[in-house]
Amino acid sequence: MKTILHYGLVLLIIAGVAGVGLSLVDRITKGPIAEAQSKRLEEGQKLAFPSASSFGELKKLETDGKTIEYYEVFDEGKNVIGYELLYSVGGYQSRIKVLTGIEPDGKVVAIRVLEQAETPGLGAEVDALPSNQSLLCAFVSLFSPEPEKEESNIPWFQAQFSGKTPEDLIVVKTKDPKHITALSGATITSTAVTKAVKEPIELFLKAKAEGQL
Amino acid sequence: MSLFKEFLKGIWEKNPVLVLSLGLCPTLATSGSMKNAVGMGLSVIAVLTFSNIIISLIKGFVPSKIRIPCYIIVIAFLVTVVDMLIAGFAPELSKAIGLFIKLIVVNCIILGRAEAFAAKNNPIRAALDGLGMGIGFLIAISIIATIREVLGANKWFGLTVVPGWDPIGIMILPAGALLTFGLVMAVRNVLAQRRAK
Repeated sequence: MKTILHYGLVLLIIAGVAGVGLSLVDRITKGPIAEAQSKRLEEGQKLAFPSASSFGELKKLETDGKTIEYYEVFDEGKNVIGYELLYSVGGYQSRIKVLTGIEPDGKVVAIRVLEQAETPGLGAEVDALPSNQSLLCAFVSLFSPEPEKEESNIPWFQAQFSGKTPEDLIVVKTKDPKHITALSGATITSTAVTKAVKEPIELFLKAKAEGQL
Repeated sequence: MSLFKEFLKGIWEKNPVLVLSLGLCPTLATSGSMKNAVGMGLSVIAVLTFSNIIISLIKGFVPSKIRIPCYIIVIAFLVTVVDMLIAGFAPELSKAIGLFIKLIVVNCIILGRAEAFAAKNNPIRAALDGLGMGIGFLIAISIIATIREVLGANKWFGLTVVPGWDPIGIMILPAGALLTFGLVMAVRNVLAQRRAK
């Protein structure tokens, strides 16, 4: 009996101290974490619809048993010039969350993969920048006084979606500017991202045509 | 054993990955790219050093029959702290390795060193042991990651190594991790045997 109380007390003290410590750290980090998350979303919103001047509140649309989250996109005169759809699908080994900017007729403006944890080197290349910078060049540029060239911050895989209509969103394995060229070695991820773009557009347009908005 | 040797043993003589074969799961999982490997290595150094210190400090207070749950609480606490700090102050790093940070809780290097070393030694030695073992882990995982990223993706820290060369995709996959790990371990054994002669 005495040992049980002793053991229980020791565990209680250790767990208690750890709990108090965690809540203290949480107090410090809660603000920055929330800030980082909203900053990531804001950046994504801007990239998925570069010509927008402001965005509406997050709205939910339930259709065909699926939920799409979307934002209205406004120009300077507060007119709706398009929408941004937030949708996630299962990829090869993680949930892939995509923000898609579309014009009212469903044409893609740009997309942004907000969250993914796919295989590094394969599926995770959806976030790879179109940098062809080699190790040698990077090494040389360390010693050259010339200012760095401005590089595009849109990953090449995601850039392919811009300007495409939903019918064009088909994954192909050989390079074809009309469709979506798959990442080599990551067809499942490529298909999943394409689905995360195409599916909400189709559902959204259908719901819009039926006057559900 | 001198304090300096206590620190040094984790790097070569008792390298946690290549000699003690501890922490293989995170080694295999995060050695696909240098960026992930270095992030994982640095987080392990931080968690391992502090967990060793704390466990060495509470060793007289914890009855041996319930030591494992106590160690787990300490380790889980430290990992959560590191996870929250990275998420708050280095969001880009958190996006890249956030998933792996939570895996440190079950990284057996940390529980292994707590049980085998920190629970029997004073806090200074425990801290040096943790630091050395952590650095040994970082070195081992970096070597494996360099080989895998260069051969499997033709990249190093995300920069192309040989322009226009088609990389060997399998090296990025788990099979490539096992192959590389085995070969690096073998090379280390050969070197160690030669030195002993």
